[in-house]
Amino acid sequence: MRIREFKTAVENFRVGVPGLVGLFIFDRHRSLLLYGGSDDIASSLGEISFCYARLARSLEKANACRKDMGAIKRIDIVAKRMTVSASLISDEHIVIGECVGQKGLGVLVHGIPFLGKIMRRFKDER
Amino acid sequence: MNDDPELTMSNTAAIQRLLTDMAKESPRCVLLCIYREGKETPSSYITTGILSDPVPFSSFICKILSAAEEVISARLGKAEQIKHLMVETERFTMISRRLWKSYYVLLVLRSPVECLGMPIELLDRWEGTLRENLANIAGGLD
Repeated sequence: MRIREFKTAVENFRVGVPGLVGLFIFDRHRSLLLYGGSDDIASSLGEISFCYARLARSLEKANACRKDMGAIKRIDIVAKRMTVSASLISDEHIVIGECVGQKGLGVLVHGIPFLGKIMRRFKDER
Repeated sequence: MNDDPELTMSNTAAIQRLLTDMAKESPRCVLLCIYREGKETPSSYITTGILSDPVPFSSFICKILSAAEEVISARLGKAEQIKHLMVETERFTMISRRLWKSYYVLLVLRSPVECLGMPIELLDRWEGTLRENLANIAGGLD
């Protein structure tokens, strides 16, 4: 799977999940954005990516401090206006999905394992 | 936030009783505590014996809560409080819910939690009672 195919597969996934506003995949060790797609017209992809790279770094730090709890696999954040779910889909990659309001969490959580599959396919075929 | 009345273990016997009743309804629960945003030591807690020290958990969730709040506020361009936070690690699943002012309840379960709907429903059901008791006790300390 080439990078263009990978991006198309992720984009198709994003469009196919109702209520999903943004979807971002980071290299979690380097906080490097591998994929980012968002319907948000108020913020640029760079600004959004900067916010979530910071979250990815905080999770890495928290992970390093609390080895006895085991590594963090997922974090869901529900605020009044936005729901965010961050999941580790492999040793290297973290997916962050966001929905407007509080009702999209279930969709997000159930959809993200499919991205793990896309990611693995991309890695295996490289 | 820091002007909120301070709860201590000595004035929260009623809250502890509620937490004990709540824990009985959740078989995988190992810790239930009330903590304050920015404070790493819980105001009140009960454990089911598997964990002896709640501080690593309340301190951990406090840090994640603060990072989450920072990120969401930056993302929305406006200060935003987190209502519900869930962190799943290899060994534990932690669910934190905002109750009253800067007070939160934290439910810690052993992972994997097969049906997340159950602990969420438990929190939904107990949230009002906890909030009311907390407001009565902490409000009385004002």
